[in-house]
Amino acid sequence: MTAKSDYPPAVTWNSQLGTMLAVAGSAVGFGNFLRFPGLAAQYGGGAFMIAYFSAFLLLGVPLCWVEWAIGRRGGILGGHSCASAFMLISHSSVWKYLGIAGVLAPLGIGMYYMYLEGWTLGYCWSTATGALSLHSSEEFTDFFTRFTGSAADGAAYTDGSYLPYFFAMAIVINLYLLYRGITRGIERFCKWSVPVLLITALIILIRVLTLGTPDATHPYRNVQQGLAYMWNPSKTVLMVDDKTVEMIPVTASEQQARHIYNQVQQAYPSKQVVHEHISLIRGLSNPDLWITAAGQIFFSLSIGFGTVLTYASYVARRKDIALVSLTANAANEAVEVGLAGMMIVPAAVSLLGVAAAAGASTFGLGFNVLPEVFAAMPGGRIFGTLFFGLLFLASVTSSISILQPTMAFLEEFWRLKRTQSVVMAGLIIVVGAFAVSWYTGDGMMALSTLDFWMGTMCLYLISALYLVLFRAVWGTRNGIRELGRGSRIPLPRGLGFVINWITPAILLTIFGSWLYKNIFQSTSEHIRNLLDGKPGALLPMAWMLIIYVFMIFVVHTSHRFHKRPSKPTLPTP
Amino acid sequence: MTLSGIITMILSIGFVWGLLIVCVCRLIREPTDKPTSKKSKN
Repeated sequence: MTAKSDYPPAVTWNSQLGTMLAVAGSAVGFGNFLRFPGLAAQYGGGAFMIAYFSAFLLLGVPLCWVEWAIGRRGGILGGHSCASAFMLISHSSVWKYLGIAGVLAPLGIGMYYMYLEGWTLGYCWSTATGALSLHSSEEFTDFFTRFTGSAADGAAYTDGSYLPYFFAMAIVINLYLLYRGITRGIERFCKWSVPVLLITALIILIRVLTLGTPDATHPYRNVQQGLAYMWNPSKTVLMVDDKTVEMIPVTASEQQARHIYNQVQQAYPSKQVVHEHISLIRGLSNPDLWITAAGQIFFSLSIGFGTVLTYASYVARRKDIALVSLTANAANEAVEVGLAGMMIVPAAVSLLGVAAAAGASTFGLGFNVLPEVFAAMPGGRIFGTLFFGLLFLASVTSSISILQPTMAFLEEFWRLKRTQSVVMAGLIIVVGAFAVSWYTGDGMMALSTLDFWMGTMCLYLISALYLVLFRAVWGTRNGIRELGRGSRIPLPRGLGFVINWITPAILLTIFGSWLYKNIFQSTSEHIRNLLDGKPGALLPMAWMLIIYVFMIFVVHTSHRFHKRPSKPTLPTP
Repeated sequence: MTLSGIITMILSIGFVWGLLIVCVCRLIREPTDKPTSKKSKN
């Protein structure tokens, strides 16, 4: 144990592989397995991937490097949270109050993430025990409604759902791992869970790719059609009410295409079925596609969560961060594009048809469509259990990273011991997570409110703060020098230009378009819910406000980082 | 599946897995305590 006088303890990661796995585990989550495949398929494979990789190289990688450099510099100066790192780098007290956003946002996200972990654990258990061996879409929707309690507020607690038990289990697992600390808890857990996650995903992928044509009565529902729907840059789809319901296979003759059209028309007798041809050029000329692809990169790499900054602060002074960051990003992309992109949509199309996979929301795809896919799949009970187990592992590696900034904040500003900070963070999380799991009516109002304000709006703001600090306060040259220290890869020559101009421009565009859509074009329902005083929106946000005031109080009364550090005493890079 | 679809799929998956493999090889190849590869050679 570290002596009290040694505070703060000089904690560093045990190995670079452990650091990389922890950061990759933090980034891999629901977005990789459920959000990306749906978006890529919806926007037409090839065109989406061009925009996606452009955003990866010009927004994702540079912003992650910025966050790593700020984090490591903060760690060297003795700060492991956004608040302390911002202040120590800027030598200004204002920045420690601005940095509170980087502690508050992940905490808010953690509140609903715990609840979602309860879902994945519950679905894993229900698939293993056969409780999810249902037959029709309505039965699966009904199961989801009963299990999550989404019929009305408090239904998860009053209607005999098992969710509260799984939810409590998820909270205990997370707090236990955090209590164990950076090396014995997070690093050790990620060292085995991330490889297990990859192997499990590979096993499911092999099963999906060997499905063939599962139902002879639907010859066009096969893996090839699923892969074509996911990856073909040009495709002809049939739409009803602006929703894709079928795709015309490229091998189909005119007569077969007409037959498919007639079948769809019979399935929707009172609706007009529309032919739509999606091409690469048309896709690329759609601004929505670029903004969506950039947004997906942004959330997929956990940019602005404050977690990478905290993890980077535990990297020793002379160790590499540029390559570790790039490796973690590559691992995240390999899971997202290389595994989830080949697995989810082909499975849904070959077992349920294009209509099931097209336009499904993240949770709709994960908790309504996929359980039905596994129920229809030969050996689906085993593969379904594996899949929801995989989702649980992916979400735990993310949630422990989401909570670590709060632990670091409490430990460094209030000098709490680990047990005390776990208890305090646990109490804050439990109250918020309970509100999320109680106010489930009106389309999961508490969850969507926190996701809107903490999980979207705050992340854009924090990322903007990173760029301002890096460029205008610290200086891009100093930041890049910090990034390059101990680096085993040469940094790109134009990196400074990209960080100074290109990355802010992309960030401003996606944030601006988000603001335009949600605030200016039409008042978002999340704002209206708050103005109307709906408890499902008001109470979680009131709790966040209380925590915010508490954090300001903690920062204000703390004796650490109280004095404005003088520049000459700081170690130079 | 069209030829352009196959190319898109192979390029996308090849890029991400290729990047990961190159990065992991680089990460494992050199011992972590060396300050920089350039200095250690001298």
